[in-house]
Amino acid sequence: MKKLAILFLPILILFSCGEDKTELKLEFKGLFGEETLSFDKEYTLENDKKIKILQSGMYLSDLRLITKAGKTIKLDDYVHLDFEKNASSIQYSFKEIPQEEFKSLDFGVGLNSDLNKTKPKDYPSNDVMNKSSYYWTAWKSYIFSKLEGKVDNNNDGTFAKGWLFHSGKDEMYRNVSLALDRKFNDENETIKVNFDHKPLFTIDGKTIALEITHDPSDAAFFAKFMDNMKASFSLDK
Amino acid sequence: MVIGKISIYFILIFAILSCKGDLEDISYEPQDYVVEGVENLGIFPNPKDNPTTLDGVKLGQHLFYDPILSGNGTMSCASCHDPQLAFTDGRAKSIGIDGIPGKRSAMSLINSAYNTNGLFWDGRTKTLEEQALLPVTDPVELHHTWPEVIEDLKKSELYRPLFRKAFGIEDSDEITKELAAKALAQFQRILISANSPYDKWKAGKGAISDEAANGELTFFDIDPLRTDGECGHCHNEPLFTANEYFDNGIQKGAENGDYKDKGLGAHTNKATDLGKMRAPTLRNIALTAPYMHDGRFQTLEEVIEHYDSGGHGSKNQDVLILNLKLTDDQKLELVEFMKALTDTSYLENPLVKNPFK
Repeated sequence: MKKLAILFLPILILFSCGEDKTELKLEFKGLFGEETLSFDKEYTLENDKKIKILQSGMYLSDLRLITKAGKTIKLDDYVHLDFEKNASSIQYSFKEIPQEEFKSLDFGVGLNSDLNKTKPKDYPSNDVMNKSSYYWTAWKSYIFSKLEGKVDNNNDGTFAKGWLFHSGKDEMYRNVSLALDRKFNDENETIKVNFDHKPLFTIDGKTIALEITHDPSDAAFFAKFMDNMKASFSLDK
Repeated sequence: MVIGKISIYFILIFAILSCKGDLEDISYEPQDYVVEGVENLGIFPNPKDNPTTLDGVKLGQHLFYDPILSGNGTMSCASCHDPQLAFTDGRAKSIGIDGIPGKRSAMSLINSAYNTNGLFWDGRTKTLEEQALLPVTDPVELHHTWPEVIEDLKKSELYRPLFRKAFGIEDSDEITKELAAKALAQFQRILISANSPYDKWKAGKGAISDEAANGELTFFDIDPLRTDGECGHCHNEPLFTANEYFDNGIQKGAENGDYKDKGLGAHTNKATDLGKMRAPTLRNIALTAPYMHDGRFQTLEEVIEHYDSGGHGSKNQDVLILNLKLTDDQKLELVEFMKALTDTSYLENPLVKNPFK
C-alpha cells in the first residue's frame, strides 16, 4: 500500500501543480499636477486663469497586459473612468492573471471602432456602455472623454463662465502603452495608474481657450487634445 | 400511564405535522412576464431575487390602485401617478392624505425599469424595490405605517391569495412589506412607453410633422447650421433621459451654493451635488405638466425659455445651461418634437389598468 502511495504521489503532485495565478488590482487616480484632483477647488493655469473642474470622465478600451515574450493577456473590453465620482481611486479587479514577466500595460483612450459602432441601447441599462450621456447622436459616436468646468474670467472670485471639451469619433482614439517591466510573483498585485489633468490645458506651449467645444469639425484641436490625454497617463512609481 | 403519555406525544406530533398554512391549498405556478415593445429601448436588468411574473405584476397592480396603502383609506399610488397623465398628477407639488403638499412634483413612472442610477428627483433610493417602501410612510404622501398595512393585507380575502400566487408563501403570516414592495416594483417594470410617433418615424413606419423633424435637428445638434439646443446631453435617446443628475440653473439665489432644495447633494453630502436633480424622461412629456422638480413651469414653451435664458447662475449649474439664442422657430419646433414623443399604448394593457374599476 505504501509503495502504491509513493508511486502515485509524484503523479498527484504533477497534476495539482497549475500555473501560478494573480488577482490584479488596476487602480486609476486623477491628478492635477502633483495633487489628487478635487472637484471643489480652484486651480491656476499657466496663463494665471483660475478654473474649477466639474467633470472628468472617459472610456478606456482593450485593456491588456503584454508579456516580455509578446503575449497578450486580456483584462477587459472597456471600462469607464468617472473621476468626479472618485478621483482618488477607481479600482478594477482581474482574476486568474498568470504570474509572468510583463512588459507593458496597454489600453486605448476612447472606444475602438468596433465598440464605437454600437449604441447605448445595445447594452443593459446597468452597463457603462449604456450611458447615453456619453453618446452624441450627431456624431454617431460615443463621447470618448468629457472634461468640463468653469473659469473665473474676471479674476473676481466668481466662476461664472462654463467650458467643456467632449471628444469622440474613431479618429480621436489613442493607444496608450505604459512600460511595466515587472514580474508578478504574488497572489495579489496592484498596478497604479495616474491621470494628470494639468497638461490637458496646454497645447503647443499655450494655454487653451476655455470654450464650450464639442464640435467634431474642430478636429485639429481635438487631435492635439487627445494626444495630451494619451500623454497624461503614467504609472505610479 | 406510560401509554397515555405516549398517546399525547403522538397526538402532538400529528397535530404539528398536520398544521398547514392557510394558503397552501391555493396553487402557486409562477409564469415569467415578458415585457414587450422594448426593442427601441434595450434591456433592463431584472433582479434575481425579484423576477417579473404574471402574478407578481397582478399583485402589484392591485396594490398600486388600492387606497389600502394610505392612512385614511383615501389615496393610492395612482392618486399621484395617474396613468392618463403618464403616471404623474398634473400638480406642481403632490398633495398627500392630510392635504399637505409635498416637497416636489410627482415623477413619471414611465420606463422606470431602466432607472438604474437612483430613483426620485434626488436619487435617494437605488432600486424600485427600495423606492416602493417610502411613500406609504411619508407623512406628506400616504402617511400610514407598514405594520398596519400588513395587518390589513393579511386579513384581506383579496390579497391573501394574490400574495400566495405571486410569491408562493404558505401562510398569510408570511406577508411582509418587502413582498408588497417587490410586487409594486414588478408592476412598475411593465410601464413601458416606446412606441411614439417619433419611434415609428425612426423605424420607417410613420411620419411626424416637419416642425417636429426640424426640432430633432436642434435637439440632437444634427444640423451644424442650426443653433445647438444642447438637449441631448441630459435627455439622450432612447430613454430621453441620461439617468443622471444635473443642476439646470433653475434655483435662484444659489450662486454661493445656498440651495433651497439640495437635491442629490442632500444624500451624497457632496458640495458638488447640491441642487442636482434627476433629468426626467421626455417620453410623454406633453402629458406631465407642470414641469421641473417644483412644477414651476406650466408649459413646454416656458421650459424652453428657461433653457434658452442661460439659467440663474447657481453654483453647480451645468456648463451646458447657456444663453442659447434659439430662434422662435427653433423653440416651436423643439416643442413639436417633444410632443412627438407621446405614446400611451401601455394603457391598453389590462395589467396596467385599475383592477377595481
